[in-house]
Amino acid sequence: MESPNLLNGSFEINEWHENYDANWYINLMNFLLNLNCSWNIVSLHVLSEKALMLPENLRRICRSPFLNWKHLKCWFLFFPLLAVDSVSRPVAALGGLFPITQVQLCDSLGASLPPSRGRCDEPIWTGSPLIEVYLGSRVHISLPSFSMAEKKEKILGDKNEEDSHSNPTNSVVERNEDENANIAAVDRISYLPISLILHILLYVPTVDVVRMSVLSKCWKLMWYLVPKLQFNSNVGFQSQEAFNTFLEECLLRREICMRHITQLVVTKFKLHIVYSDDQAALLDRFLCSPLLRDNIMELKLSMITRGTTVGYSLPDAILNGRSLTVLKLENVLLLEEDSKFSVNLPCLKYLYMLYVDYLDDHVLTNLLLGCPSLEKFELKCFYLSNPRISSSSLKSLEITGYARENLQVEAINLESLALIVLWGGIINLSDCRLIRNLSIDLNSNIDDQLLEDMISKLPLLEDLSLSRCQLLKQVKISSERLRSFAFDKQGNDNEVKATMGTPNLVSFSYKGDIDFGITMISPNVQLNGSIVINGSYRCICMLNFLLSLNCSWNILSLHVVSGKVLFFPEEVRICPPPLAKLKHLKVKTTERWEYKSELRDSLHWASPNLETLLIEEGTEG
Amino acid sequence: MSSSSTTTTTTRLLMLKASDGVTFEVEEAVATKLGAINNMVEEEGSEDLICLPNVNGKFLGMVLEWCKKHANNNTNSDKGNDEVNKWWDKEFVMDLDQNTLYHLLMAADYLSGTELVDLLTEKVASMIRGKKVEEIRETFKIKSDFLPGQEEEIRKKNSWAFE
Repeated sequence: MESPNLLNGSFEINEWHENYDANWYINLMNFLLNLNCSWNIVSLHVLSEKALMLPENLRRICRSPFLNWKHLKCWFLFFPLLAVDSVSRPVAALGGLFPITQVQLCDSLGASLPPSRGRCDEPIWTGSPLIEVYLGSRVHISLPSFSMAEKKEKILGDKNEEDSHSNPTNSVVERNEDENANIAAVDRISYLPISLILHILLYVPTVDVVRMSVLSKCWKLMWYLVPKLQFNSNVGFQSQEAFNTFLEECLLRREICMRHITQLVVTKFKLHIVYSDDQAALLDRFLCSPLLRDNIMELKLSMITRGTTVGYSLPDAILNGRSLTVLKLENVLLLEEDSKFSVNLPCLKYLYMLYVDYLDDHVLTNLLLGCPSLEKFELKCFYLSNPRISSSSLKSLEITGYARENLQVEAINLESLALIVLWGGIINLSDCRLIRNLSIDLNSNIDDQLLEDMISKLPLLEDLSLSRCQLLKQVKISSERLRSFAFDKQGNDNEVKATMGTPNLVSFSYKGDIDFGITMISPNVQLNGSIVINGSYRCICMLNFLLSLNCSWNILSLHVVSGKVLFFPEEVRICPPPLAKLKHLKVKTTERWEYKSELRDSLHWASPNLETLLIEEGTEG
Repeated sequence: MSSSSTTTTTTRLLMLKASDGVTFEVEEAVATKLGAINNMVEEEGSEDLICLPNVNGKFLGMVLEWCKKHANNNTNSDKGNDEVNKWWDKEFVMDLDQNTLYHLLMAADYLSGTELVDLLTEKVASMIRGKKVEEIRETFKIKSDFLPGQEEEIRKKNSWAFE
């Protein structure tokens, strides 16, 4: 450059290597030495500080390329995920080159954190520029909009001396003008702090994030920084092949990137695919890749299999994932047929399995033995003969499925238990004395006696829900702490009477027909309730039903098909009002009924102490 | 513009002062939904006036409105209330323009309102998910700063992502 003026320059070197080798540094040195100009401010954008870590032997044999440089700003794009305290790394790396004046941690707007002075060893080259190091900054903020050279570098020519900020073509100035312009037309998202951008991208499928790379320089490499990968073969791909290629390329690129910048790993992985057996090798490669293997914390695999597909069996690396805390599996094989089953998931807190094959009593026992930290376990759609769930860490358990013989739960710290569709066997809850929430649904074995016994062994029970248990007739519940009770009578054709010795009950909900009655033994219990009556009944039957609810209500929500069933004509009003102490009543109906004032009148008779009455009518009829 | 709140002897009131001088009087239980304020209250103890030089009054007001809703419903954690909260949240973010969304997000982040940040980032994500690149560019007014031909080059290099 034959110019007497000082230049301001900006160089963007977007090449990365797995390891920057000697060749790289020699080329870089040649490149820098060939910039024969007098520089004022030079911005050097590289992906990682490693690109600039010139080895010592090279430094000793070459003259300094920075002799005529005054200010150097280094920007390391791939730095935002690192902790602030690791600033010392690039500073130390560059400190060997030249004296560093300050280290600036930047967000997108260029200056959010206070600058700190870098400490470094005695620099080798004297006469070096003053250097500022920018970490995790956005390349595009100070990039020029035109180019002089044809290679990777671009030069921001500035004919003014010293002061680059007075230059109207400088993009920092441009951006400020933008902000004053029409607010609606301003790009906001690109100027969010990188942590927030990454937070947003956690909720965006990986394919969309990769496609966003063509938006602008700021977005070009963004997808490499997102610690979560999520793929759905049903959305955004023209063919299964295209999806497979996408998966492969993503893995390849992120792996290369990770080898270079070890922090850019994947901690969350979510995959939903229509699975075909030829994808097994690719998935294995993904799940066993160093990108995931030792870093993955949350993993969700959900597969749809068709026809004769064998299914995907989980690789050993996942079943022995040291960092895994959440594992969700849908339609995945737990192991290959006849293989040895070994599990070691020391950090696993939440396990969810739906349609998981090759799960038998033995495998289940081993699985739980390998998960010493498990707190929440959901097991859905299984078929087992004599399952035993034994875990001292477990707090919440939900199982849906079939146990041919008995189900045994041994979990001394269990607080919440939901059992659904458990045809077959007997439930043994010995040792689970800390249960607060118990929900039993669709059970054909529990009778009055079993229920009473079960509840008597759960002194801390607060919430109880019984649904579709067909054998129940005389339900007797004595429980000191019970606060809420829900009963769903569907599937049970008996006349059911519930007797409640529950002094602390505050909430009761019921769903079903009108062959039901409840009696509170404990005095002075005021209930808030919700009652849903399916089917149409004559008003006299409805009145009988309401009279058989021997409790005093505070708030009641009553859902019926039509207001008609709650209209009690004068001749039946000789009996005592059924909802004597009720204060607040809300009636919901599915159908519309035209006689509104009659309904109101009837409801006021039924509950003479009513303070508020709300009627919500449906649209049908 | 200060908010009116029912005072009882047991709840402590805090004064929050925004960058433009607007002050808000809020119950401690509401304000401490924000991690940053919670920290200040725990550290400084008796200080009742908290200055927030990085947040404008308009957006602080909105953040506090969210806090109020979520603090109230925290006391009786009901499944029904969860539903109500979800609906309320949906309405809250439904018609936010991008300028408001941006400032609200910055404010929530600055004040460490973790749940609010989650809500707002998810809202932004919903504007991105499944959209074509050009739609995203249009929605967020993102200008390309690539050199001529560079975008095509990236597109070609990443062709595997566009099929």
